[in-house]
Amino acid sequence: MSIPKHRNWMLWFSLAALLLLMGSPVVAQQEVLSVDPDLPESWYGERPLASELGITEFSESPLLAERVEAGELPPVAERLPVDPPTIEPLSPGKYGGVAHVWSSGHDMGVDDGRMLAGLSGCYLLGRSTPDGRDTLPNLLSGWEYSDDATELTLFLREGVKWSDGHPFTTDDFLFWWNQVALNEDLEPVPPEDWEPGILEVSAADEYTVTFTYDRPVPVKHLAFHKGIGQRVLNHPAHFMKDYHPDFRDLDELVAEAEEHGMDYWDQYYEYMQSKNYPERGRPVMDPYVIVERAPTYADFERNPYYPFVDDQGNQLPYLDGVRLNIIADRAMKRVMAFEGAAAIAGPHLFGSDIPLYIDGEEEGDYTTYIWSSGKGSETALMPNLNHQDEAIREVLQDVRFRRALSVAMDRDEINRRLFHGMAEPRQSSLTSDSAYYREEYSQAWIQYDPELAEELLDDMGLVDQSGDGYRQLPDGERLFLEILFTDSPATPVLELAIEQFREVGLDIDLDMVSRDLMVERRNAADFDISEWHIDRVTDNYFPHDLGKTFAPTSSQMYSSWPLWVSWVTSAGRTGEEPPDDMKELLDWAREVFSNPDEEERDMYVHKLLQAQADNLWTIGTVGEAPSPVIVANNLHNVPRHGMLIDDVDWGSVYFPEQFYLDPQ
Amino acid sequence: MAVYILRRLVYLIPTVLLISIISFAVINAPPGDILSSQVQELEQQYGPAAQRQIEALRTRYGLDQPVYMRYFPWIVGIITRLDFGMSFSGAYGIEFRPVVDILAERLGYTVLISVLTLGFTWVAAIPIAVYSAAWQRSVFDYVFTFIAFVGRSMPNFLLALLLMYFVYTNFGWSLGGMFSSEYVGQPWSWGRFVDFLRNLVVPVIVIGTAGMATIVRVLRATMLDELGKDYVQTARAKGVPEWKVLWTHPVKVAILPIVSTIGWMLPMIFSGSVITAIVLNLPTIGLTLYTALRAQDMYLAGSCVLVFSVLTVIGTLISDIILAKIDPRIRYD
Repeated sequence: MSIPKHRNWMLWFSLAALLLLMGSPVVAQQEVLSVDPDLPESWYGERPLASELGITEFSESPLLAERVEAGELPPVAERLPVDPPTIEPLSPGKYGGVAHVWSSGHDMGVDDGRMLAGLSGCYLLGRSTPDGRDTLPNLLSGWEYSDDATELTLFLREGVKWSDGHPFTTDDFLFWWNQVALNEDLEPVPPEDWEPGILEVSAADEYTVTFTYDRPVPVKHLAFHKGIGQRVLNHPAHFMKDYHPDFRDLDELVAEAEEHGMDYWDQYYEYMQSKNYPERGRPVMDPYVIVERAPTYADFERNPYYPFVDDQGNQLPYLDGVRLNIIADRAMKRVMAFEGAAAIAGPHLFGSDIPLYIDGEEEGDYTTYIWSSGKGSETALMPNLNHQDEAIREVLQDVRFRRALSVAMDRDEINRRLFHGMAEPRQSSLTSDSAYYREEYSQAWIQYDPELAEELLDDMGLVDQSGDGYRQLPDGERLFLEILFTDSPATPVLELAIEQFREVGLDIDLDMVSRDLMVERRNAADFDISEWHIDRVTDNYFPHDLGKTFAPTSSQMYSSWPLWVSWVTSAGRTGEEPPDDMKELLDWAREVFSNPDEEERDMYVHKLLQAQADNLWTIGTVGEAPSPVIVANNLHNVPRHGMLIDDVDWGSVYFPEQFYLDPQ
Repeated sequence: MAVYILRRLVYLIPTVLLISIISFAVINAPPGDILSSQVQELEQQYGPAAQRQIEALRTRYGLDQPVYMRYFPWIVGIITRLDFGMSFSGAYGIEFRPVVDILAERLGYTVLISVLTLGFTWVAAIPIAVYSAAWQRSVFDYVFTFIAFVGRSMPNFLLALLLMYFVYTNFGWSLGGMFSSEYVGQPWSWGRFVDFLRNLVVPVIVIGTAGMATIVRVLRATMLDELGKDYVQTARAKGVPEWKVLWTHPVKVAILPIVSTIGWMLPMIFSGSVITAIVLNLPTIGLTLYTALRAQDMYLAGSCVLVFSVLTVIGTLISDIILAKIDPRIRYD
């Protein structure tokens, strides 16, 4: 049985052909903005409480009102927190409607479901502002750092409930800490060894819980992403207790696990913990709850206990539900978007198709919003600084070579030909919305200057000795480099880039492999140059993942320094020990993570950014490219501009709870 | 005859077991496992402890065991309890789900599409082939020979896209999936049934065309062989009407090689339909196998291959029985 490896390529190709048949492209010229300037002021501040807005009466969807009448649910005021937090809608919403989106999985956290309810644990507890510069209390009512930033005290809102109506209290935090984090079967790595290490979780009362870290964790979203958000909300104590041996007879639990086809209780616990199966009944905190799951779709209904209301006291979300239509291949999503079958579509649509989407607006009854990709570079080259061939490694480690590659690229041509001129030619660095953004970082070595490239290469002794038009190594050996990549939207960028490299006499070719092989070879540092996008460079994520371009801390397989990352993440057991200049970067990275003094921390941030701008550990092409978001004309309150990236949970920081559909 | 069938049934068991061993070994041969895709996420949560966490998870999921230690409990579970093991794959992060649940919800559609496709292939191919052979070098013969070659050589997915485009622009049907969106998850009704049939037309044509072209070519060639033989001449000389000559004698002989193809037509329809299933978004097992292989979800992938191989040997068995029934030359020993 043969499975073609490059079927994606085939599909994309044929879809492109299909789309071309459907309409001739018109080049659009719209500005790419990452933040909608017309967002309400309140989106940038802490959630106003209902009492502050003078709301005393709460209302709910007619569907829920019916269930209250039938005695299935308590009245809305009892379901909401004592003083519910409010979300100001872009325009007053109406209850009703099921939003259809297309997804490759039965989980709202995947693909387009995220645009409606991505809200990972991090953004439920504390939500980022639309510009990504700050993280504010959301489900929590607030938090407090100790002076040295090693202790973080969280304040829970009184009366917040899980989707089954059970109160959300510090019991949930303590259960997670005592029964999950400290349980060797569930978490084999003790929490003091995590990143950052957690030493202690304690609760003063039902609504106050304190996390003690092994080092200062002053960056808010770091504390929430890594330490708390992703973990705690997955373990509703009252529900998960029934599957934990601290509260059950172990033999009985193991027998139950075996009945379900599992060997031990920890597997069974994990099985019951998944929120994507209605029959398992695991309560959630999300705006929507799964109610049906079939091979081709998953149906979600609004969470009747969702703790937020709009500025008039109407319980959110407005939508009755969401249907995830499951597709086998993400390329199909583009066709469905094009036909107007989706309420909203964004992830995996290509900027290069924007004219086609605009062309189909009338027939598909949708509007194409232009968001920003939120990436520092759509495609960045990663010269292998750990190359196993000494001569090649010397070349790739030479900053002159990396600078030559950078200035040999004509980014304007790439932008014009592949991004309709709407992207930004830029170096791998933070996006322009960042509080740390400086032009000297994003514009470093991006000028198109083939003469300078040739000069730098000549200077290194890489000259054409044989007269075949390509440069050789100083000892006359052939200098031939391959860019390792897997088929992706980056392909055309790389094709243009290697043409430009050949202009300055560099013999560089493309080496397209399957994803598995690519991962394997990258981890083993078995490549010359690799390629990946530079993401997690907005303030929401920075310095969450420095590994791609700033310091060898993480992202082994998506970096120029796989073996150094391996050394760091394995505490020296595998990989190669980094040289001193790298260790300096690692020291700075540690300061950026942990220094409680904001001014000092900022100084180290700039040191890291400057080092990348000087050294080009990765070489950027164009970034902050246009990302089309297709919004059905009957779906309202979607911001016109935004970022379509994981950093903002694919748009779920833009309050998708207040999206609404026209009444049928 | 009964003894023959019984003996063939006994032979099935070692065949299927052998296939399962080989396929399981092959599935587990590539480097890495389902955790490989989680490494980045774990690195960020656990920092320098990520490697330890990965090793611990490998132990939890039994991935640190050698292949045979994973194979035996799995196959024993299938034989004794019809327990196909656990699928690990989630869209994001590891998620447990019994493989048997996944197969169960897809088996019906898979068999339905396969049987319909097989039926379509035969119903369309046999008359065309017989006609082409009987009126060799006629306009009709050339036209169908041409279509057959195009059908054989055009990739299924391309045909699927073209047909989708065609029905979308001409009838306004948006195909993809088994039902149009208004009928998904609804109880059965007349409208839903019609919608279901409508959504089946394209996949059946697309998957059936390639097989159809093969059958047309094979059947036509055998028919041409047979038509020149003496017994056909004799029948014609006796004054038997031409249609009767064709359908009673040479077709019976020429159909034999086609019957023997049932065995491999079934898996071809399953596996050959993977890309079509992707394009048309059909919930078939072929598609599940494909995603399972990509995710290195070994028990799910192994179970899919096992299901395929069981269907294949059953298909072969059926074709052997039919052949034994209709071909008097076959001996039962």
